[in-house]
Amino acid sequence: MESLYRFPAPDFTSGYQLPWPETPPPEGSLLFALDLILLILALALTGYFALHRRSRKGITLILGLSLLYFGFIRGGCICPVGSVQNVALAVADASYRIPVTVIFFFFLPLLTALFFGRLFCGGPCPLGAIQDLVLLRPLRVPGRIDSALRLLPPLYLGVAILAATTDSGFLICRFDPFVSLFRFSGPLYMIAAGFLFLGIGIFVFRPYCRYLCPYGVLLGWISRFSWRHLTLKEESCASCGYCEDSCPEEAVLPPLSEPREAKKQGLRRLMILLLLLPLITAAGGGLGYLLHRPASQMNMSVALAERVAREEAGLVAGSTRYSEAFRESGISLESLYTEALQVQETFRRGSIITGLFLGLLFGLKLTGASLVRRRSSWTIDRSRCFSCGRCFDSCPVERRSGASP
Amino acid sequence: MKLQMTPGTRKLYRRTFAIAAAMSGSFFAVLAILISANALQLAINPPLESPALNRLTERLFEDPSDEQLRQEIRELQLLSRRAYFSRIYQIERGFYLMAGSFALLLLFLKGWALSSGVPLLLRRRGSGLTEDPVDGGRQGRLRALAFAGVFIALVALGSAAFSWRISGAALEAPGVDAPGTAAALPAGLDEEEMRAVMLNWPSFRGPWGQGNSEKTVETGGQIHWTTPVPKKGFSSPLVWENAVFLTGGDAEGLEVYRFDLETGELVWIRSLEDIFGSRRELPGVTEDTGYAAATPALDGERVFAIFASGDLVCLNFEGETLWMKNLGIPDNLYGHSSSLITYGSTLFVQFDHNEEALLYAFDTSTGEELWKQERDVVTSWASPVIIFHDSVPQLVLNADPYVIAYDPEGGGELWRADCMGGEVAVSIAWDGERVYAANQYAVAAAIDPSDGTILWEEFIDLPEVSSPIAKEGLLFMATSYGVVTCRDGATGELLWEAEFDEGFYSSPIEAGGIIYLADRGGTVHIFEASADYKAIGSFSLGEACDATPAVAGGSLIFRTENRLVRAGEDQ
Repeated sequence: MESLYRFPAPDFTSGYQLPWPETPPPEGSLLFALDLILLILALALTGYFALHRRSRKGITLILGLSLLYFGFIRGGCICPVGSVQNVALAVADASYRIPVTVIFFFFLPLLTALFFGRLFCGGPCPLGAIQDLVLLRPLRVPGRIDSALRLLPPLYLGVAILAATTDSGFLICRFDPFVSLFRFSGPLYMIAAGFLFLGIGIFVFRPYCRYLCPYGVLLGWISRFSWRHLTLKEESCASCGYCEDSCPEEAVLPPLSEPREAKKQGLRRLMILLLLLPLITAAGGGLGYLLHRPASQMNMSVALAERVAREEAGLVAGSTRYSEAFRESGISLESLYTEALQVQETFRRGSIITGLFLGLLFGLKLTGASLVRRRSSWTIDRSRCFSCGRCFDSCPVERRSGASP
Repeated sequence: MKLQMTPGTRKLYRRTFAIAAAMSGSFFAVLAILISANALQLAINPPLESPALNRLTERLFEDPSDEQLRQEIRELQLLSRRAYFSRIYQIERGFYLMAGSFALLLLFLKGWALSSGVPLLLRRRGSGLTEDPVDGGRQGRLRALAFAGVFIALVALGSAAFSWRISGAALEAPGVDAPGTAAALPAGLDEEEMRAVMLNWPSFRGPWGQGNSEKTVETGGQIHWTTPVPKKGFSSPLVWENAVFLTGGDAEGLEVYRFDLETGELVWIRSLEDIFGSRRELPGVTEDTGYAAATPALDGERVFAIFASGDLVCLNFEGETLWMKNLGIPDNLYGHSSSLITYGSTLFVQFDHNEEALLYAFDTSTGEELWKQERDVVTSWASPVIIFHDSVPQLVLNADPYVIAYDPEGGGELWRADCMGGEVAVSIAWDGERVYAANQYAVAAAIDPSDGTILWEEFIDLPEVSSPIAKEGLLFMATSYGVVTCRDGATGELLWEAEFDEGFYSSPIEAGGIIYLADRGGTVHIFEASADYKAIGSFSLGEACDATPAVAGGSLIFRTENRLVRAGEDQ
């Protein structure tokens, strides 16, 4: 919503004094402490309901309460999803003082994931909660589309960290589709995006979590090594496959038939991919280098400098309010261009690193797809499973044993 | 989960929920359309920027005394503001209604699903309960490669379609061309290297040693920080991004320093004794030259430093030794003071002393001697400067009796001008057209860089230590007895002169058309680089100053007698 003070005040003849906006005082640390305590509580309760009681109802309750408190009452901030950027900025810029609460918000869900899987996704996350609660009739996303979309979260993570560390803003927060719904305020396009995601979420399970959430990338990696993850009743499995059908995230993996390929062939393919891994990583770095100038447009100074240079060269007609404000400021063109070039230099380094990271991930994905796995029963994919507990109700063994209230 | 109810009841519930969901969904859709239309209209025709209001406002500027017009504008503004806030209010309220209707829609849909017995299950994919792992892996790889291919294609298309204005060589805004930067890149340098030099302060008197900076300085004389320098010296500070480098030395030791630009904190000290592992043999020097008079040089990764002992060292920015050598103790009456300079991957050392006069070129990464030129000049204390004449780089050295230009690539002599005399400590100036060389008790001369022809000579108010500076056909010189002159670069005609209480050893530097010049008493004088003398101001550094300042981060870095000082606006 536009500020009241974007245009000159009228000439009041009645003597009315227009109040000036004031900077609100910072929130008390007590509230942040409460946030932290409630996060710990929510994680603990989600773990209790998911791992001990195996109760979907209990998890749903936590989802509802998290949505209410972390979503609508606290406005979706602070949240671990955006804290990735704070941590990245703190690592890159020694002068940035990251709040202690943010550090806890970043590390606690990861620590929990290391022990018990993605409990944060299952309960406390307000973004996941709102999507989980709107699901009505889950549809299976076609494999090709699903595979392609699942490459977006690490890309988003890399770009968000690049933007945060180059002083180009916190993209994850700026483009969070649900924050505007939590706060009943925001740019119109973000409100529309929020409703769009919810609309999709009626049929596609947690679209933001599966296909965009950058923090989910980290949780997924760590969950692979979790100590006591949520499991199926494998020892008494009836081989009905209902658990696989009930999981809208498709995190329940079916058993695999015997591979119809010679072991030697598979090993050869794996070795080739491993040898190519450094090349693929380097190619990612090269692509990152090629993209550093377009990427630098994320930064306001670079974007402004480009716009002003185009106006100066007569390549664009008119001006924007930003270029007009710049000309009114009295700052020299040289200063603007110099600053823009310095930022681009920072982007060059950052983009190469981001490219190397994404290239490595891509290479590992190709390599991982070459590993011939063996599964004799239904198993949970720990990196994908949100610990939402939907599989409890569908399992006839669980229902018979009364383990699923 | 299914509710237990009779078929008739279930049908009734199903129908009720379906109707309610349809109504709330329709309400939501209508609201979405209305609010979007409202917002779109607000964006296309903002009430506060109505043409009628603008026309009236323009008329008021022409006739500010028209009270009726003023009243008309007030009324129209009030209507505009009402319209604006009314729309904002509608959008706000509409949003709440949308959220409510969406929530109801979800609720009714859930009710309908429960009463219909719609299973919350995915449709089973394929036939059979098992998957083929090899086939699954192949599909996974193909999909990943396909995605990567599409992504790269989009990137290539996007990059090809977008041309960039902001790049080192492509900047065409007025005033951005700095002396020495030709439209074409000089030989031996790429765009990145060129830009890096221009944006930092890597040698004595800045980029290429010319004394001009593309940057601007914002200073009213505020001292941002001061830091004690461990040992004295007359070398000038250098800056690369956030690092400030300096040298110092006395009979106890010779040192290289790195400071932090933002805080002034001393980051590290390296002593030559540690670098070489032995105590250095020191020559005799005078008090006003000392052991650390030569300014080091930077290339973005390394700092090169030379001392009166003939020791030349190369350290990385973390202070680790990369290479070092000793050129022999120079037989120099006052002490070696010729500063270093780099060009591309070559480090140049002007080493003119009583026994021999040499110009060295070393590889910056290894210290390997690339070439060496013997010079038929006498001892010089001046420093080499790099100029670009028709995009061709020249390394120009001032000494008695010749000003000589060399090819940085192989050391070949390009031209020489027989015009100099005396004890030369003054480096040349360059304005993009002419080379200017001067020395007290000798001459100030302008030289054609194409063949070394002397264009004019003048013989009064000449500098002794402070190197002159040139900008757009104007030559500025500062003498050791306090006179500053401005001469027409084309003819040598004196345009103005100004007298100050203290003399000048520090060389003037120019940034954004403003000249900054520190006198020996530590007062910095600021005036315009113009054909008429226009003083802008002055401020005190608190201590004597003989070194030349660096431009960095919108401020100036000075070395005074005992301290390093950053003067400028609080960044």
